[in-house]
Order: sequence, then structure tokens, then C-alpha cells
Amino acid sequence: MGKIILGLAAPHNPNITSRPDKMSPEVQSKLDSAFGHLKKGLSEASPDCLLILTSDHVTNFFYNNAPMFCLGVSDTCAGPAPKELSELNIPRATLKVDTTMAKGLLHYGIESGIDFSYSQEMILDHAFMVPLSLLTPHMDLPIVPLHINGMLPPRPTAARCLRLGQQIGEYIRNHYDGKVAVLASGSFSGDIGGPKMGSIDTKLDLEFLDLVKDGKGQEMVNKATADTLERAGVANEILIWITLQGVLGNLKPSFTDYICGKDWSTAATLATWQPNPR
Amino acid sequence: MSLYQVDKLLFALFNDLELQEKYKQHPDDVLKRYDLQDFEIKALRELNAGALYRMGAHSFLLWQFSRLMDLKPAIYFKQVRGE
Repeated sequence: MGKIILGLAAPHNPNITSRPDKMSPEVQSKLDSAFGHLKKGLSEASPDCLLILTSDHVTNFFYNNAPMFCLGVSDTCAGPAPKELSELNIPRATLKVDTTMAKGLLHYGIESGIDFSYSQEMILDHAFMVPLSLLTPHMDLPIVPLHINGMLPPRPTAARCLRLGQQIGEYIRNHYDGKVAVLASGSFSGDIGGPKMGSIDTKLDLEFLDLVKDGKGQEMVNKATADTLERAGVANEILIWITLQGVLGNLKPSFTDYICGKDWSTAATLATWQPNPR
Repeated sequence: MSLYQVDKLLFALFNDLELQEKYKQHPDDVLKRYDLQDFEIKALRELNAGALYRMGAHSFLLWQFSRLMDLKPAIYFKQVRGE
């Protein structure tokens, strides 16, 4: 029987690694502290595998072929994408994929109602690599990358994402043998390239953070209406957080932090969940 | 259908470093590979982010295109917001 031993959520705003000098010392200190908290939790939990939930940022997928949910199932995955290397300040790395989980989850999904797409060539763009570089800088933890389409409309519904997360949880608990940490990579709102870019929707962010603190997935789904997702902007990363809540059941986080960086397009929300507190 | 070709070009420019260089040096050679209408070519050549946004170009890809082409963010946002 597998165990979900840790939930993590973190932003992947590329400014975090590409332009740290542009942050105020206060924001830098808060981010260092919050990422340090998550990194310590991950190190102490010592999982066998890190399942990463995020949305590909139009690197692997485009309108010519746009899956809703895609698992990386190759033996290894590499990132950042070549286009990002000059700016991101993250060295190119090749990470081992836990193919037992990736392929097991693929088959479990097909048998139980989530027809995952899968890829033997998934590139880990900044949505994966920014939090990975800060949480497991040696890049030595086996991963399972799962793309949840937030960038290319139409997107999956919030209810579908909650169900996806629940099924991932069922798979891990009943069909996987090992300790799993799950990372949601994304922010609540951010309209990259859209007319709202540059103004962080703090009101929406904090309303959603309150729901995260309550740990009730269904209430998060109720909040994530089409109007809310439209207001939250282009990337729809609320869906990533809802998927994680589905994996964790109605568990409340043990740690949250909300950090607004000046001149950023998104705020940074970080959180930790401990299903089996010691 | 044509708007898809605009996004397809922006997607290719976002991900293909060689194409980025070709586009910067010889944009017309790249543009002719796509099935674009004249008003789309005009907006792309003029870096008219506002027109491209209002046509429905993907905003994330449009932003990356503006960065590639060194369009000043202040001008980009003014155009996209229709100010």
C-alpha cells in the first residue's frame, strides 16, 4: 500500500529564479523562508517519488494537440526548455521518472474513468523547474510529471480536477508501493500577457487561500466557477490546487504563506500538508 | 481558421530558437510559411499587440512574442488594454 506523506504547493513565477536581484530584501527573505520551510519538509519526509501537478506553459502542447491531462512516462525527463535556459538561472537537468507510478497511474486512470494522455518526450518547462530547483536542488528525487491543461482553452472543469485528484489518491493508496509527496505548482491568479497583467488580484487570491486553509475541495470547486477562472487570468492554476486537494482529501494545510512581490504579475502562495504528522 | 495560423506562428517562435533568429533577420521569409491574411501579417509586422489581442491571439504567446521583439512592456499593455 502506498502512502501520501506530504503535500506541497508553490509558485513557479520565473522571476523568482531569473530576477532575484529585482526583489526587495523583504520579499526575498520571505520567499527564502517559505521555500526553505517546504524544502525542509520534503527532505524530512524523504519520499520515494514526487508527483508534480502543473500546467505545461505552451512548451509541449499547443492547439494542434492539446491534452487535458498528460503523464510523462519516459525513464527520464529534462528541463528547463532550451528557450528558457538563458533567463531562468536553472541549469539543465535530467530527472529520473518513477515509471512504476507514471505507468501504473496511466493504466489505473484508463480503467477507472480518467483517460490520461501520456508522453515519452515531456519537456519540463519553468512550471516544473522553478519549484524543483528550490525544493530539490540536486534534482535527485524521482518524479512523475502530470500536465493539467490550464493554458489552452477549453480547460477541464474544477469538478473534474477534484475527481482527478481523488483518483490519483486512490491509486497511490491502493495500487502503489512507496511513499509519495505531491507538489502543486501554480498561483491562484495571474493574467500573463492579458490586460490584467501587472495588477495582482489580492482579493481573489485571499478568498481562495481561505478555502485552501479550510481544506474543503468541494468548496474550492464551488468557488472556481467559469467567472472566477476568467477573472483569475490566462493560466487557470486554481485547477492545479484543486487537483492537489483532491489527492489529499479534506486535509487542512499545516503551513501557508502569501507573498506579494512588487512588479510581479502573480503573488506567491506556498503551502504544506502533512497527512501523517509525526 | 486563420487565427490558428497566427497562434501557430507565435507558438513556433516561442519554442524554436533558430526560427527566432530567422524571424528577426527575415520576417517575411518566415511569415510566408503560414497561411495568414494580409491584416494579420500587417499586425505582426507592425508589432501591433492590440490588434493581435483583439483578433483573439493567445495572450501568453503574444506576450512572449512582444518580449522576443523587444516591444516595451508599457507599450504592449497600452495596446492590449486599448488605451
